[in-house]
Amino acid sequence: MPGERDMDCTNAARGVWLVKVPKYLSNIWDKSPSDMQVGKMQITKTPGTKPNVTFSLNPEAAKFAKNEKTVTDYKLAISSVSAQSLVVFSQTVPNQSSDSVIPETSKLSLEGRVVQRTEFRPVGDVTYMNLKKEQILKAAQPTRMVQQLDKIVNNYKPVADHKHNVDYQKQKKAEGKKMREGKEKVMDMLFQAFEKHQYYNIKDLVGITQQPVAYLKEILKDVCNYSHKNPHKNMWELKPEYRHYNKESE
Amino acid sequence: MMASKPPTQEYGVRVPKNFRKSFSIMKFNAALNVNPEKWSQVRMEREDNTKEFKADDETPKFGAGSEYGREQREEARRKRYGYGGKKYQPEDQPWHLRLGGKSGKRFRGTREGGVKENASYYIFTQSADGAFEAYPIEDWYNFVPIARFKHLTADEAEEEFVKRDKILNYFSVMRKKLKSDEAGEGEEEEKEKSNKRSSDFKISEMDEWIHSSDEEDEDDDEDGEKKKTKKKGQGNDSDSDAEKKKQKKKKASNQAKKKKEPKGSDDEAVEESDDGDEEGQELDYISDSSSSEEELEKKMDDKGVDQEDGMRKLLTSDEESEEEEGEKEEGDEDEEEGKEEEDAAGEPSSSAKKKKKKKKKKASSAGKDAQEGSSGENSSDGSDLDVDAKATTNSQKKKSSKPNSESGSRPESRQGEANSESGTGSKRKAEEESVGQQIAKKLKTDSSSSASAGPILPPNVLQTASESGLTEETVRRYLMRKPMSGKELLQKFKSKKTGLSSDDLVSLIAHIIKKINPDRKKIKDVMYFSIKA
Repeated sequence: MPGERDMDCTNAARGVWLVKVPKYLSNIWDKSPSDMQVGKMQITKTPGTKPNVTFSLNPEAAKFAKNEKTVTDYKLAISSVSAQSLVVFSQTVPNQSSDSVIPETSKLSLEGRVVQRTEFRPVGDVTYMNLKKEQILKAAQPTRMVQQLDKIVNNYKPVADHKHNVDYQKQKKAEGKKMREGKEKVMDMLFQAFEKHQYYNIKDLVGITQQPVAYLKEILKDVCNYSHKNPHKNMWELKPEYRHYNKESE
Repeated sequence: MMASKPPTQEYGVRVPKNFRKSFSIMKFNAALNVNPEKWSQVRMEREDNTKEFKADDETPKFGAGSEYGREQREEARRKRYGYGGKKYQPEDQPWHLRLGGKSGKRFRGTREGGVKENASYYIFTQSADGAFEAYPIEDWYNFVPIARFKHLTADEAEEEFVKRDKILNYFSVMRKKLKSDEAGEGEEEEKEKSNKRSSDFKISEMDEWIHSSDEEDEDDDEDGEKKKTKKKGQGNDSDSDAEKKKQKKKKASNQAKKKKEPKGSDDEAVEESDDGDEEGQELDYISDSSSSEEELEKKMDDKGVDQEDGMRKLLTSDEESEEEEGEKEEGDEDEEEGKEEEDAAGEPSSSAKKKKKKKKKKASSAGKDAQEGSSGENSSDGSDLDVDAKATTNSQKKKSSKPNSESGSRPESRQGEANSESGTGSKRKAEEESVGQQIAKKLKTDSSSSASAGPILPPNVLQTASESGLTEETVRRYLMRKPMSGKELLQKFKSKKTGLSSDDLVSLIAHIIKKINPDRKKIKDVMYFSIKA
């Protein structure tokens, strides 16, 4: 993979929260602009009990919701991470559009260690119930439904000769029959082709040399072997004495 | 909205958008005690699995072996049959994390699916102004440590588990495994050498990519230095090819040393016997004590016999021949001959002996090459390792061809002796066994000492053999049908009543096999020959 492999560990000691957020809320967050305050978090510490953390959505941000009314108040359930240690890292993809001389590389950096897991739990009020109801109704809707057509569907008849076929025929006719060229010249072309690859199909050779098939076969029989068996079935290869490589192929 | 008396802190939450930066979670098991604060020299990269991905398509793109327009054709074919190939996606490959430099811990992180299916995850960090910044988590990766030690596979573990009560030293189990692995590597090495391929020897894909990732990196040079001095079992990922080769050589020399070690020295400490080991065989009062006792004895004896001449010959034929050579140098040949006759009834005809002697000569003449030859003897038939050594052998052979020609007549008389001696059934079995080994052994000596074993056989023997159907062609036919050991071959021809003494038969078959030069394969310490049809 391209880019830096060494990880930037400056933020390694930082403790971060891992927050689980319901999808409908995260949709709102994703749509909100970068500098906007999407909501407020209130931490109330009562001595002797666990701190009470709540979150209330900014009414401005709530406008990005799909339906008018969405849950705005959440309670944050906090739990510790004990069964596993979670580490956060980030990957920065290079900016393609930047025209700096030195191309940026993708960068990996540690972003911290998860110290707390938190869950956004919506406060179960009427709006939440409505939201859930909508979701359930939506989920219950079948994805495929019967539809009545009000127009006749146009069925196309099969085409005897497609346009590209006609074009091809025309082009072929314009070119006319392939002319036989001198054997030396054809052989030169063949050898040149076989320098690049070991095996050729007759069709490809016809395309390369532009010779009539019968004539080409005649020449091929002189300088090439035809393999009848797999893995190179129906392909031509040079006879051993003409090869420029030593390795004998099976 | 909460009661106003307890102190309430309020924080704003922002969701900064940076589409070029994506956050992911690394998940470690708590038992691993991962602490990112202590991490140093952290390196992480995606695994490179292109090789595995393209494993099915090894045909070269151009040059020898390539087909013109193969890829397009394949693509068209796939389209016709309606399956689009998966493209290799480097971004989907697991992460490979390395902590604390080259010899540090390694982890492999595979992506976990389904986490984001029903909920989203965010990372909350506190920014300078006190507000929380939320960054969405894109992926979860489960990081698992990579084992850097050799371990037994399921089958091997089961095998060892069966022996669990007999093993005293569990440490030696792994040691043995390490050794055997090295031996396997050595074989491969030889193969490669013979193929004259420049490609480097690879232990495993994993090591390879670790290696590739480390190659371009300079600050780890000292680590590499350290590595060299480390135990070679772990030193798979050295820095450069040159070093690799050096290590290879070291390994090879170690092997050579190992080979010379007396047999059994590297056997693990297995309990010899114990109270109640043979409890099942304990006698009942009712049973006929004498017979069962005899049986037991016989069993033990059997085992002893074929261990002595059969198995040991094959297992340690290399060592033995070397040993014998050494013994011969002492000069008391006659004594030794007698000894050998005893412990392997009908053992090597004198011709074989002579050959051995020849071999010794060769050893002395070829000097240092001899060791190489003997170590590579297992595969010496095909390997043209040292041509000059062979050349000297040939010249030696010419010198000593005279004694060879007369040796053919001798074995018959000795065979008679052996036959008269062998009275009990167990001994006979041992003899047959040893005859089987003889062929194998003879072959070995033949192949190493002489290019053609022609002059050993007197013409009259050849004639009778061909009359009775023992010809090259028949042997070839047998071998073509299925792989056979020397012993099996011998039995085939014995039943045909060739009218030859078994010693002649042995040398004749050995000669034929030599001529045919079939594929050899060792199965359960018995050499099997086969010809591919």
